[in-house]
Amino acid sequence: MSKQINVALIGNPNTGKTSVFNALTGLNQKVGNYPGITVEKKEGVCKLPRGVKAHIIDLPGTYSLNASSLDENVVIELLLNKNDKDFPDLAVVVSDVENLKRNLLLFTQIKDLEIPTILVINMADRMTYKGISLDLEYLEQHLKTKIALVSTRKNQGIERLKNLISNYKDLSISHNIDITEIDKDYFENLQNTFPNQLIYKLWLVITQDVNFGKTDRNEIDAVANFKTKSKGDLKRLQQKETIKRYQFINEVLKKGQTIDVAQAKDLRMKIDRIITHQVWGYVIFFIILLTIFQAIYDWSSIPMDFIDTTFASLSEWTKNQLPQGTFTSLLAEGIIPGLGGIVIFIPQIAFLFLFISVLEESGYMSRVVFLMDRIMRRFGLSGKSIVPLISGTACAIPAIMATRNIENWKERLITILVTPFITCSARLPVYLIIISLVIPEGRFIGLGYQALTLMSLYLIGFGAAVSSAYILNKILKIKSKTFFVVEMPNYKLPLLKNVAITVLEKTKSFVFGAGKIILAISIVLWFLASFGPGDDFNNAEEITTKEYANQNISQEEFQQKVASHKLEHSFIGITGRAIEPAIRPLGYDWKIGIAIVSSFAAREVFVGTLATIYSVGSDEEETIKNRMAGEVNPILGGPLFNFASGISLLLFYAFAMQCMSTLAIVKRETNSWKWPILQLTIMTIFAYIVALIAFQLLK
Amino acid sequence: MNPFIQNILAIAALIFALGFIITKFFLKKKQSKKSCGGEGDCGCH
Repeated sequence: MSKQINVALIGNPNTGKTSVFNALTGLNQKVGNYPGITVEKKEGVCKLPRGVKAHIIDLPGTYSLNASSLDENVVIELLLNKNDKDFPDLAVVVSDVENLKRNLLLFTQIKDLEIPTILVINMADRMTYKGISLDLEYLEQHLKTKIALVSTRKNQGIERLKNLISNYKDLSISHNIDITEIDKDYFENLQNTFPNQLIYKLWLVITQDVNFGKTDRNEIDAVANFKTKSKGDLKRLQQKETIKRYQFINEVLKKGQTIDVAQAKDLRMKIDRIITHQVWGYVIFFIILLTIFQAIYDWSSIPMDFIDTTFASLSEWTKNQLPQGTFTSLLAEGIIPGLGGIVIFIPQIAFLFLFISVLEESGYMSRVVFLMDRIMRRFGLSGKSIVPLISGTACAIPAIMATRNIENWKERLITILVTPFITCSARLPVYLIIISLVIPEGRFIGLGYQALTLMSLYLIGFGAAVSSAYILNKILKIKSKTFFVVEMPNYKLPLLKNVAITVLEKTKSFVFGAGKIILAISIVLWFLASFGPGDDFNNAEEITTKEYANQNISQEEFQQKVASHKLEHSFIGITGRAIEPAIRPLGYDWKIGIAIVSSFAAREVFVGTLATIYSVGSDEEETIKNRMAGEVNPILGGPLFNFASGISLLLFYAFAMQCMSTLAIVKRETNSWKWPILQLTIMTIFAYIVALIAFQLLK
Repeated sequence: MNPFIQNILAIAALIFALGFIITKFFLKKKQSKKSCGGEGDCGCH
């Protein structure tokens, strides 16, 4: 068996680290979490010359080894722990040719850990535009490393990088600077106390406010405090260390890098001035949003119709081709329609992530964060709250995790509490199906009413989040603020490969994450809808025969009446009817009630649940949308999903806290049940009242 | 397919589904301690 090299890909944010990871691993990658925490862990395999394989971990972006967030802790913990199975044989530090000076700080720190290190200088294709030239031989000699000049955009330098990785044993592990020079007595004392330890590793353990397994930090601290006495002194030493590193970097770059400003052909400043303009910036962002939502509708309709019809036919085929029985019915009426309820949204989800990924890759998203910061401050939130709020459009769970970067507890708490208002991707299936049922297909100045409704729902969610933040800010009386620094990366043409991988990964996790829950719930729901207690369920046929004895109805109509009677007296029917009085004022029947209750597991379960409930007992080959469109309101008559009940449902889902997992994460992050219970109660009551008002006004 | 087998398959599916839901939402997952080495030494000593 060939030896596998453990390679850690490390770098500052926005250096194209993920592009290098994609170029090395292709599709041989998987995404998970670090144990016990929800920082994303990306790893993959790269085939190297001579049959050697490299196990590559794409570590979270970090500016230095002085951790200030959970993401950065992950990097340090891995680099300090030789017993970790992922401990790198080799560190590949990715830097950006335009920000080499800043990026080299991290590089020199990693060199001091005596891990063989390769320096990747990425985005080499930008050198001409920026008038940059590099003396690679000089840089390699003085940085005591091997350098790969890479352009992932033009697929250049990757082969050299692979060769360097496979020959990693030839790399020097000597330091760039001598850390002990910043305080000779202190470090001498430290080294004498722990003679077998690497001095820089000890220094990091002392200065980082993180846990390092069985490392007795207090023991080392005691030694450190012996000489430096206070944390303030340690901070001053850290500053001296940083200054020393930059002195070294400046010295090296003075000869190793030349920047000819006269040759630079940079449009960035001009573009930035327009798209971050205090008026035009918002107009452009608004137009981009409109275009995205319109495209999601226009481009998805054909594949969605195809998927819907395919699942309806598959269900029918299963019923006709397999021998009759309980399992066949479960497949045809429970599992297949339930799964159809999630697969149908693949095109729209994929298009949404396609646009998000293009905006991120192009560098525009950072400008959006900068733009939104101006608004957020008026509502009492710091700029740091924007990142969780924007990530909340994908899912509230990682977004709430991302609040760990907010140092101020009150600001963090407010962000945690308001993030679930942001329209997450799980709300999308619910919105899409209801919009398609109750909003007409017409257009207004070229924009479809349906797309405009969808965009309004996103804006309503954002509005609810910032308004509640404003109220909470007043109640909780936040006085101190955190600082917010956002890096504006260069504009780039998005790399097709990166966009494709993001879309694939996000869609896959959406389908498989929600798919498993939907499949399980569909099975349980089918049982609850297909069986029931008492004579009303068991003698449904006799009761219906008696009821319609004097009426002339066809055999088909009779069968439908029996199925409807059975469903009403099944376990699910009994439960649904028990909660119906509470939801009837909102314009919903008991079937919608069941769907709302079951979608507490995950919002997208709503559509799958209705698809399963409407399929039970039905012999017709029907699409989900047609089945929902055909439902009649038992009290008022007319379609159940009409404009009033549809808007009421949309608003209910916009404001209600319909997500068990989010509540669990809020509990974990706030370390108390008080906040998730308050959040659940207030959001549900608010959603109920708004949905009630909407239905009563519009009916 | 014999009705008995159909029933067995359907019940097995129900048990799997219930098991999945209970494990996912009601059983507390064991979380490893946030440390660099878990059970192992962190290598700093």
